[in-house]
Amino acid sequence: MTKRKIGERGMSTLNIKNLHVEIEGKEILKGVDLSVNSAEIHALMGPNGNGKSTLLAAIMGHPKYTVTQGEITFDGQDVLKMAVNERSKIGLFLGMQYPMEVAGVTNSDFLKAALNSRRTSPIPLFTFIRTLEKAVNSLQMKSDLAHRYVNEGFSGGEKKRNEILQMILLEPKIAMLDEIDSGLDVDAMKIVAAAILEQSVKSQVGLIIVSHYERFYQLIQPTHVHVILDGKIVLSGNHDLVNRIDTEGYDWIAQAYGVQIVKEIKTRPVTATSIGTCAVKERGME
Amino acid sequence: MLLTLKQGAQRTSLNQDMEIITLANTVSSLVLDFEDEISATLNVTITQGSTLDLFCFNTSNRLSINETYTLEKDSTLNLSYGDLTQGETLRNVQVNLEGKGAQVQLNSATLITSDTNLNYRFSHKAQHTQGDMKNYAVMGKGGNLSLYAIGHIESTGAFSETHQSTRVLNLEGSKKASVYPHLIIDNNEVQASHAESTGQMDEDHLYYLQSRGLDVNQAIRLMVKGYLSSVTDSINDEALKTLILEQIDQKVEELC
Repeated sequence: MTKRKIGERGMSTLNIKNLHVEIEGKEILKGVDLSVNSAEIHALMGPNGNGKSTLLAAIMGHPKYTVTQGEITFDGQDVLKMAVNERSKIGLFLGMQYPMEVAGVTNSDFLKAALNSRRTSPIPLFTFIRTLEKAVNSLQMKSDLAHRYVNEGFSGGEKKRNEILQMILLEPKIAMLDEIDSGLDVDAMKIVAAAILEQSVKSQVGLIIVSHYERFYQLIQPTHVHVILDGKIVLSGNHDLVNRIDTEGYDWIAQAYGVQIVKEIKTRPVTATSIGTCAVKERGME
Repeated sequence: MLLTLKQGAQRTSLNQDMEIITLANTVSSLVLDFEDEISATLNVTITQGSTLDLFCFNTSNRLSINETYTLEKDSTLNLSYGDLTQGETLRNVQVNLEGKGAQVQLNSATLITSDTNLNYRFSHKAQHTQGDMKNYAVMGKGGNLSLYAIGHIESTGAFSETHQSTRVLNLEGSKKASVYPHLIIDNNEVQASHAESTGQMDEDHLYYLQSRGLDVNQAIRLMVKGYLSSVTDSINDEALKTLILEQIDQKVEELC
């Protein structure tokens, strides 16, 4: 396990106590306790539909999730009282499972606005370009990224790299990465994992990582591993837990702790209807 | 006032009736500024084989204008409108594609803060003509929008194409937006399409931008700028493009 030193940014701690969260009246999280410090890497595992993404979204303040009980504090500050942007500015970051496509807004404008939101004076253009180029190169992304619209026309892998790019630029104290490895091929996964680890060492960012893949955790080497079943963290351990889950699944944990695994119900997503050709023939007009 | 366009770029204000003619087989660009209070007509002829990039930048207090464009054989018109005004706007645009192979690309970006009536019509009169219209409107506080987007391929317009899309973004407190997309087709050998969407600011988009530190107003302004900036996509002059984007930034900061 890599030893990481806490540097000049100091130690930060995200504390979650007895967190209950519901969406549209249905309780998803039923009492989560978790503490994450700077430079720690926490793997959050569990079958789909058991609360992993809900936990991360609730920490970031997604408006569709309602916290009904419990507390979230960051360095002693009450996170639940903060707006979403304030959570970002104090040092929380969520790399999303499905990053949004924002048509018309260039990455350059978006990233500059995000960086300036946490500065007292706007970032000098040269500094911005140099910082962006460095991050783009480290993630082996296309050099025209700055001029492209946010995630529009990006492949699944490009979107995930763009999330990591934002993490690198914003330098959060605690970053949550929700299935950031899905959509990445083997080589891209290595590049992304290396960038995350570099950031971890460089800025001592504390990480909460959701992934289903043992291969990704092999690259990341989490310091802590948690299993979430039916809205609760039922088991915590070290990297050995990842290996056992990879070979044996989750049933043994559910049996040992008397927990029912929630089966995810797949619903067909409602997509925007495209309007195709519609021509009318009007003879004799004009 | 008669303006004859030779090769190259120009910028001028329109404050009276104006006629513009391009010289054959030239490429020219023109920025027309609409300021103060204007009631006028504009007649433009794009002569055979010529290309005109025309950007109409409207910051007037009140605008009422009738515009007619005549496109001769193998001519191209790239027509862009940036409406960033707090005054009422009435604009009637008639584009006549009279010569074989004539092409028009119309892009409009409109920030609605007063009553706005926009009527855009392509008439495909010759064979192998092409028309593409993209309208983006943001409904700010105050003002109704009425927008007619009409593509008419006449019986003489075989093998022509006419396409159009209109997107309207409603901000909180905005008034009524009425969009009327029409395709009138009098020849069977054609291609035509239209798309229209009207909606609120996407909540997930806002959340995404907020999760990176932007407050609600910053996120809205960024998205509105993005929405309106698309009008500059067809501008090839980088200096002009930068200038227009800066002015869009400034106006959005003022009005949103």
